[in-house]
Amino acid sequence: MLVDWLNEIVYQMATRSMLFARFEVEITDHRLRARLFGENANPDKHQPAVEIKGATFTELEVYRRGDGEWVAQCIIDV
Amino acid sequence: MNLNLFTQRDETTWEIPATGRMRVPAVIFADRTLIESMDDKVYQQLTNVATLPGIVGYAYAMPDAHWGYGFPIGGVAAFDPDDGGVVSAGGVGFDISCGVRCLHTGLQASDIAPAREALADELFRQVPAGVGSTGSIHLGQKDMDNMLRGGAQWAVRKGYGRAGDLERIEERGCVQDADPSQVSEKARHRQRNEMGTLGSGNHYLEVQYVERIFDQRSATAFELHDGEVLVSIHCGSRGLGHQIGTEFLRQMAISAGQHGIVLPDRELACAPIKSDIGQSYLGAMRSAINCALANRQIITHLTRQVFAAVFPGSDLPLLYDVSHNTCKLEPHIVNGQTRRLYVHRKGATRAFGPGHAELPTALRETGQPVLIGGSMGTCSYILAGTTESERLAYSSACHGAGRAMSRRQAKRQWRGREIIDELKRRGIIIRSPSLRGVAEEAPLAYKDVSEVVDAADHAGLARKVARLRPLVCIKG
Repeated sequence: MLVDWLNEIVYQMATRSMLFARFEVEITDHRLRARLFGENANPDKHQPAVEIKGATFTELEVYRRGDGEWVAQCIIDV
Repeated sequence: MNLNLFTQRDETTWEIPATGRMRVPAVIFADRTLIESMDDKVYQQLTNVATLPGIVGYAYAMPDAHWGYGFPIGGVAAFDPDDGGVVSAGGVGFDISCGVRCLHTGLQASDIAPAREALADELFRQVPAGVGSTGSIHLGQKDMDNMLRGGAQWAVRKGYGRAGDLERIEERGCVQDADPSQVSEKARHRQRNEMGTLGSGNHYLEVQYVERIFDQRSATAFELHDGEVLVSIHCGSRGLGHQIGTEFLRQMAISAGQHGIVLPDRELACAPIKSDIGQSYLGAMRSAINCALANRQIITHLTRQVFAAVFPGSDLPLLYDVSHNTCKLEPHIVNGQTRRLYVHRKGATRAFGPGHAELPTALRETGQPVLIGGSMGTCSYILAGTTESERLAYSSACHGAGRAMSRRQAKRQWRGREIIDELKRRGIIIRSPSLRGVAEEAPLAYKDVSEVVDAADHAGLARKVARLRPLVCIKG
């Protein structure tokens, strides 16, 4: 679900030419609903270096750290 | 990399015997320096590839190999459909049919010297580059289908370039059996406004000159002359290819178990060639190859328009176009028998030798031009395919320098503006929408392309013909 969710963001970024900075995510019964907040991409302001191709399964892990904080990670191909 | 893991066959050939679940042995082509500095993950990933069903002969890694997703970048592996062979989305990569094409200009470096800044500005203005760049072509559903089926042939029909270009492109500019119905709406949507754009990352358009010729006979056949100006274009299938890679990687990872395939690494996601999903991927992946070929064809057209405006009367015939992220059905001789195999080349260039039927008459005696892009500001090479490459690695060679440092490390070490100024002092003009992108692509963040090419030449994968130096680089 993490990879799917990230890939959906990648798709929305690519087709809307937007960058997102705030995410409201709700997961119930294995379904994820989210609202994304951001602004139109502006090369002068954001200086984006590389396009994101997609999220990968490499280093994909969801785990809880010793201090109780949850970590969800994977490598993104650029 | 620990050299004790290998049996050294000769100076540039390192074999890994088949052990454990490996179905075949593996071979890395590299000199001692390159293999010593190669990431340990290349070893692990290559031996993983060797476990896949239906693999034939060896799993190979080229001298520029580095860590990738599933397959190493610089990996080559062939599969037999009649032996349960698989096709792998991870074995092709996300940027399907990323490749290099090279155009002659008929101009000398001295001819363009006075107009170099103007040329750089005009190329930067006319060829869309960078994150989210869009072109002036917007494809509707019908045109999209025709493009995915027709590749560069479609582009030429639409007026981008000329018919003569096609024989200088692999598969004459159009891969057969593309199936646009396997390309999702999302993939199409990502591509709608991206035709004729370079994209970002390591993609570029460079104006270069021939600095040195190593093999005069081949150079003559390729019509390369000392000091001649060339244009190299490095880009791929843009958003469409990325989306297809993303979708099939997921589907293949999920369905592998159903086909009885044990994946040592999820990114090795694959499916039997003779399965629905395997066929579906091949149809979509071939459409993406055609998309990349059409994309480079459109950029060629834009480049020619710029040159015609800046240097009236100039003509830019195509030398050749190679793709280095593909899976193609090809006949190969294995143990004296011809077999039709699905050859994956991920970050590896096809390199057909002299006499190959696929080559146009003018190139048949010499072998295929093998175009190797360097990193920004360093040199590029033109090689020629050899006869022994067929026996060595299914007629394959390296594709570029290969990263030696992560983007984050590079960004920490250099600033984009400093690199642009330094390259300018060395006579290289950079135009890029992103200073951060320039820093991440710093020349020293890559391996030495000359070392990689020397190893490929020494191993016999391809032979050196000419070295090119950049004059202008439009960086995506």
